[in-house]
Amino acid sequence: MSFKKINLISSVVAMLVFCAGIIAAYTAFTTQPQPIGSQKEAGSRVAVLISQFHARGEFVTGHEGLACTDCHQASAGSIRQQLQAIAKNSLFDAGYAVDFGFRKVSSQDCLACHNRDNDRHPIHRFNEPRFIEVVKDLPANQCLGCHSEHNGRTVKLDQIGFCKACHSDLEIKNDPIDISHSHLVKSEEWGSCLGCHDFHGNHRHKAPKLYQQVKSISEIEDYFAGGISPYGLDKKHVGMRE
Amino acid sequence: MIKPILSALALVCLTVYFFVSAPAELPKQDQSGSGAQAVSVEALFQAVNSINAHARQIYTSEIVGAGKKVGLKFGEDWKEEGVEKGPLPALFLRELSSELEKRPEPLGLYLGSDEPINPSNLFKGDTAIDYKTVVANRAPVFSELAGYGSIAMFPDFASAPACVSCHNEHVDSPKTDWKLNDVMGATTWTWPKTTTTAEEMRQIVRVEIEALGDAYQNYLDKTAGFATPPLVGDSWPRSGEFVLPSREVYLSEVIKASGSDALLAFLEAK
Repeated sequence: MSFKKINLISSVVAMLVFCAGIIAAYTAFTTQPQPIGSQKEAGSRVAVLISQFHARGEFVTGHEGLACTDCHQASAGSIRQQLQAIAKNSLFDAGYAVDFGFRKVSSQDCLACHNRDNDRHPIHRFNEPRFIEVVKDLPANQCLGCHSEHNGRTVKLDQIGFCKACHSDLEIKNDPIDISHSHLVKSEEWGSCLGCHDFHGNHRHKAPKLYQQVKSISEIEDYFAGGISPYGLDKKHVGMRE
Repeated sequence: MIKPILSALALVCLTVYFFVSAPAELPKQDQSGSGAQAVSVEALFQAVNSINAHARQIYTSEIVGAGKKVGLKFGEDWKEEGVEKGPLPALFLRELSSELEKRPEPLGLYLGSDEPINPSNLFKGDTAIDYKTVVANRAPVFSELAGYGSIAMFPDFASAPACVSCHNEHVDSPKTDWKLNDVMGATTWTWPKTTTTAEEMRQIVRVEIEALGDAYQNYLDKTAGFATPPLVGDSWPRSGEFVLPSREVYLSEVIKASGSDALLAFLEAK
């Protein structure tokens, strides 16, 4: 690269840094610090602004029509406060809990609409220490461990045999089905579990007692991929915005 | 010549923006220790477990045991639609656990055993080893675990005849010779830090009692939909009537029973 070119690039960079500095200094001295706890509005304005330009992927079935800010909540504080906290965290490990612009979507954001008392596998149960090894491979203690957004899939997992992680020693006394659960476990037919059982138990669906009535693996995989529910459309709890 | 000056000016401006003329700082992740009276996490666990143990004992003997005699029913499927039952004691604890989870205070409550009726409650791995110690010493085990913080495992004693008879008679019970005062399982508590404060401890106890009230209320709400709902008020099923104590009456009995133990945990907190 010629000396002339290097000189030109460094001049442009210096000008950009200078402009950024001027803007920074201007806002530093003109913007009133906002009291903690009342900064949501400023954050929300930025959140809405960013969401207008941000590319989205395909929504998960049932989430069509949601606004970005239904899930992506503005991070606490003004932009300047967030930048300061991040700068201090980077330089001094200051211990601030802050994200820039938006905070990360958490299970609490999902549960704001989807929490219900009769969940068969509520995520908090997997926070128990005895599941420490299980959650390393299958983070079922977070909604986003199995679900995601902007990819059109209902469940992001590729494999449907994840029940094995906890139920590999399952034995049921007075087993009600024609081929016993212990036989299915022994023959490692983990793809059959979801053919009878709805993981969160939110559909008015009775598990069949005959093995021939088990939903096929492809039906479950289609459902994971965003297709219709093999357990029917009659739900016990409907998400708040559905 | 102008470039270094501009760069220096920009750097000064950015420093001012980031550090010098700072607006109010955002709250840090953990401010519990600042100036507050620190107490041991074991004391916190002792207090919350004492309340829970009494709550379960009263629920088991006074609601389930006495309730069955006046016609109330209890089962694993109590939450299913159209089922006119209440939660069995283990499921009542799970209900409390769920109610605690709804609150911002990060206290975790779990139940397990080496002979559980529901196989999903079987202790595994390190928790199975801790449980053996709990059974051998009939005393709690306290530990710390990376990613979890502090953990306490308390023995669950067969404190009421209903514990023994229900577990021995249950069709799915893997053990049918339980006796009164056996260690039937363990209650596990988790707290994400290795320290706490007196104020935090008071708040957690308040939250636990509130969550306990909500867990019991969930059962009362279910009974309200029964074809013949029990009368909810001041009376207990031990009176021989088809009744249930109200949330306030139940909580007041729990607080009365656990008061001295919980107070002792506070007094011994260091």
